[in-house]
Amino acid sequence: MRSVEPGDTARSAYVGEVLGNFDKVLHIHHEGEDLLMYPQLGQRAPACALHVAQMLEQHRQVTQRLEGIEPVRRRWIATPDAESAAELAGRYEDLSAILKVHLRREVTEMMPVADRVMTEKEMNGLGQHSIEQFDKKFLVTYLGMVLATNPPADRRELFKEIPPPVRLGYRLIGRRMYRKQYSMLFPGRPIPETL
Amino acid sequence: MNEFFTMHPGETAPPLPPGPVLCTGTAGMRRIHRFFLWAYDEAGLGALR
Repeated sequence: MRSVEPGDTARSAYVGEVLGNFDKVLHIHHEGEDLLMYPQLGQRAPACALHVAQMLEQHRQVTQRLEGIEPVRRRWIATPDAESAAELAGRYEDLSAILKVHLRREVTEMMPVADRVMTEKEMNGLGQHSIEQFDKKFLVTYLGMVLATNPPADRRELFKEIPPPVRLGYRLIGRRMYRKQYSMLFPGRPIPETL
Repeated sequence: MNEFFTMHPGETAPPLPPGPVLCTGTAGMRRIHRFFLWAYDEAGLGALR
């Protein structure tokens, strides 16, 4: 948002679309967990019922924040002035604070249970739920960002788990699209290393 | 680099069900969560500084 000059609607449209994509990916990620992970955990590990309820409540809070962000994001895209930028950034800051707790605790508290009561096939189905919602060009571009935000060893592991056609698509166009998108989002910043 | 995904004081994990580990969901979830943490850190007030 910092790089968008007041009144530059071409740039606010570009940055605003990327922010909207982040929101969509997050929403679908949580939707998949609500459908394909938490009911299973509740049934197969009843002792974690309180933790499941806590995580679902945090999902509800995230959904509420995303719903509040949407009209502000659209307003900022249409009228990118300092006031709307500050409001949008403040709302994202609030969401980020919730996510820093939720995303950490989901990994530390829930996933060790999931590893013991869900099969690899079921866990892959959770990832597939997200993959099915997006077109391949979108996926391979954002794959570059996911890879870049992980340490090298995790990047390699993640890449091995990706279906071969998506890996090929990433090598052919995704990596280039990621680099282009990053340089447009963050002009002048070095592009983080990826695969 | 400090590991982000650690329990904080006062937090408790639920008891682990008996039996073997059946999948590697923890590792996969950690990877996608790192992306969201980065994305929303950038989208927040940090984007205006």
